Amino acid sequence: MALLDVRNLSVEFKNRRGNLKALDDISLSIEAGEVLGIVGESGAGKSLTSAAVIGLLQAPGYVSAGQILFDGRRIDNLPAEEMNRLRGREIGAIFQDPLTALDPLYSIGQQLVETIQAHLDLNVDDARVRAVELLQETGIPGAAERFYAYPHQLSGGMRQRVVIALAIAANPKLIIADEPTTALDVSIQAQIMLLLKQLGARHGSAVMLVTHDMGVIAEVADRVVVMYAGRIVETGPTREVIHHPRHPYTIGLMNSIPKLSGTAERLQQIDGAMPRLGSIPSGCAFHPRCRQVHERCLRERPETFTAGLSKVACWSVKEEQVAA
Amino acid sequence: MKTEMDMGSRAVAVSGLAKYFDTSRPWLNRLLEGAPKQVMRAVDDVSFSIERGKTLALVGESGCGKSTVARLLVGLHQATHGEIRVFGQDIGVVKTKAGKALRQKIQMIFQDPYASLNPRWRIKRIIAEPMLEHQLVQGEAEIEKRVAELIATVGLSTADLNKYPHQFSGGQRQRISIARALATQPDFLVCDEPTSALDVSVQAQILNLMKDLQKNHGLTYLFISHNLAVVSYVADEVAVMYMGRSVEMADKDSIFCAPLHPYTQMLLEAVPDLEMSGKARQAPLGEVSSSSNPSRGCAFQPRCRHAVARCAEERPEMRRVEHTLVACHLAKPQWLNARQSASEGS
Amino acid sequence: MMGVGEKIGKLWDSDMAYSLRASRLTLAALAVLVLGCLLAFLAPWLAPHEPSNLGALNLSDSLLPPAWMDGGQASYFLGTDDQGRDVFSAILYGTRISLIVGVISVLLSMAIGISLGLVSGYLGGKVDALIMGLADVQLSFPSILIALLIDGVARTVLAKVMHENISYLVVILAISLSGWVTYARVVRGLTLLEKNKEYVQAAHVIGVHPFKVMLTHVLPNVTGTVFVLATLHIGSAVMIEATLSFLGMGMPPSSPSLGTLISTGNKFLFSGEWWIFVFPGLVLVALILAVNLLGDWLRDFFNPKLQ
Repeated sequence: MALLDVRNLSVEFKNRRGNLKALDDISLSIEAGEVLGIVGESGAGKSLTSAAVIGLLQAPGYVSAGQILFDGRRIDNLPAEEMNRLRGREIGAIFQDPLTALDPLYSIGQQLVETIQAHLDLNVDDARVRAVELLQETGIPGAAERFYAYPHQLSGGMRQRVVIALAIAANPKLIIADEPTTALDVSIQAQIMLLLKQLGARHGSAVMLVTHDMGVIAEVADRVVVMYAGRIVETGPTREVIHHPRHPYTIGLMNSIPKLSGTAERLQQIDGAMPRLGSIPSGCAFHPRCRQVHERCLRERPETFTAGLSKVACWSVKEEQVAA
Repeated sequence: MKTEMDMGSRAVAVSGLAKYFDTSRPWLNRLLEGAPKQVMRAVDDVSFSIERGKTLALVGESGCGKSTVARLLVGLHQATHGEIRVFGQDIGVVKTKAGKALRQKIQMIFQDPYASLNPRWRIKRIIAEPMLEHQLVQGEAEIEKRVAELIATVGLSTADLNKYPHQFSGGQRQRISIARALATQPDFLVCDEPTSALDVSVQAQILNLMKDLQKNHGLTYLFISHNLAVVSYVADEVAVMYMGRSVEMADKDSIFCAPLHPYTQMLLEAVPDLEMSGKARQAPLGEVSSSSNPSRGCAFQPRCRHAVARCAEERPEMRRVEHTLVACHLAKPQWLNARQSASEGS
Repeated sequence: MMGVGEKIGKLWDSDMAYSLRASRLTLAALAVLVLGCLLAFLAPWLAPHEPSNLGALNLSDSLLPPAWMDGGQASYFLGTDDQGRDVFSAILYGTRISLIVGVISVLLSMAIGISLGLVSGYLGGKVDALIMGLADVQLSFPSILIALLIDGVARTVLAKVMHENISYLVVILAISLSGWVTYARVVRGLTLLEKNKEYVQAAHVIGVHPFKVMLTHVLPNVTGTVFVLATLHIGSAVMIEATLSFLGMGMPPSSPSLGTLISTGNKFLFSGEWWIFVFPGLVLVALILAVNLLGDWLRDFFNPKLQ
């Protein structure tokens, strides 16, 4: 049984002009201990997905259809109190900007102790010990002294480590990391990604990694989900999706990433831009920009087909299979 | 590759550039506490040159001073020391009336597409501003024609001219910024992380556009970036900066295939491996320290795997090692033997 | 090009109009304000009597109660004051004066505040220190005190006859000089923010003169919030004017504002002639309340966090 099972989830935004569908019938799952990457460009809906899972959807957004199951039970319709308990204890979260994720008025030690005591049954002294352990585990040098430091006294990389410590404090089964390294320098990025990977392996936590950076996915994720305009277009093992992309969008995406070893004169580009929420085309959302577009793509939204080790939502892929 | 004597023939020549910012506490506080003046050396003795029609990429992480260098080159900051010559003229001349012609030849593209266009101006006015400022066009008709040409060059339509910036996406705004930069027919463009805020597929469009423009108009680029993969695509030559100092400078191939400075090597190691070759990577050590107290020796020494005693005492000068200029006491072509040679007395 | 009908249709359908329509309280406030402005504007035609024409006053008609009470007369709908002035007409003209003085003072305040704030934030350094120092000093005095000071100085400096004629101007000047500081501070803060944005830097790179950059690029982007402040400020400007007039320092008795009327009525409140105090008072309260409610709505509408 999958640890996290998202089934046919749709998220809509009510505004006076009507309803906007930000997530349209998406399904994904994460097994215990695996790292799932959710990749997509801005506006694709990946952050919204993680927000929906952890129950932090901001009004006027709401779950309009589908279910989210965690460890076999439904969590999308839990009352606020129960969701609060779930959050932190079983699902931890790391967000993009470590500066705003930490309260500037309290020392990092205080924040850690507060989180630990909220979820684990420890007295203050034991909680303190555990807090220092966590700081050491996340690679903060001089953890015992840094315990008393305030967020503004730490660098960006250090702060993100503290946020990670907060996320794993109660040994959650699932860690949601939303663009955890985007705001950091490239050398720090590498350190943090390595840390996440190690922690995940050591504690057996699954990780849902949301990012726009394929490189990060390649480094850390076991499987990857590619999103476009609120829909999932391709899912598969990381190596497969990166080396053998099948959906035209994924192919275009992989080709437009400049590579260190690349000698191309011109980067292959996908013309046009991702549609905004209110103007998603009928049928397949990608069809206006697709090089393999067929007549059917304009009318019907593609179903998901298996192709090799991946699942792809594309009529062209089905056609190829039929031909083969 | 250039030599120190060769500066005159290059489109852009910068030597000994330095910019210090006064970060002292307020005067009254200093008086009462007896605290010393504090100076932050954002740019600390940087030299480079760019050949006409080529791209020099300035690479480094946050705090290395590359954005400050960009601003110094377009005249937004005044250099504390050093000389900047663009097309043979000192950059200081742009402040004078006589220097207006040079101003037209230098333009800049900024990182944040959401802040680089005035939210209250229509696109037409934004693009026309440089032309009007330098009186390059006369009359409504000519302005319309010229602006329409520019907007077409960057791949947008004339219908977009009457709209406001908030009606466009990040990539489109960056195109508009480029159109504005091209309005005075410049020869030298300083690009400060022009694609860092854009999605990968949009980035590809913008980079292709910039490359096409360079080819068609013979533009010279100074391209600032922290993304080495992007740099490998656009640059002809690369200069690596660390905490205000330049640490390595070479043509693109040398930098990527045979990096000599430990920091460059670390940066390259840190780039995620899309090939997924499964190669084991070493995580970089430590973090960039705050630069209010410049060290006497090499700035990178606290994080360097190969550092020896000399590195903490003596600041390394840029010296030539084969095809590269590198500021490191230990760098040698046979890098792996470096520590051995150092202990033997280099 | 759109026809007028289409334009009105678009306005009605816009986000702003929708939000306005959604809140009954705000709509009521808007209605009250519009009514007040209409009445004030049409005062010369609506008022049955002329309160400022001293010659037309009939002393024998003084202190008459409102028309529906014993002893009242139909032509003096809300009664008369101690000089035989029709309270209703006086209210109409008084509202007119209060509104005019309020709006013009705020406009003048805004002009002074925005200019000083813009220059202060843009130039920084000593100029900034000087202007903000001035602002800080002025902030330590209550605005009424400052208004009184300016008004008092004007009185002694100018001849009495002259003063009566330009009392409008003196009051307006007093209120605007006491109110510019808030605008200056807000605009200065916004200017500091906008100054460092890339579009301003782009203008510098192009070679536009710094002064021109300040006026054409920065100014349009810092005035937005200020308009919301101004709406709220109208209420307090009307209040200050009323206070000044109440204290006898503002508008002269020959052209009474709502404040003057309230002042006059105050003397008679406890001797039984309550109407001279109550009706102008109610109108003043309604006016200021309406302006404040509208200002609140405007501020909430523009607050991006609440959207």
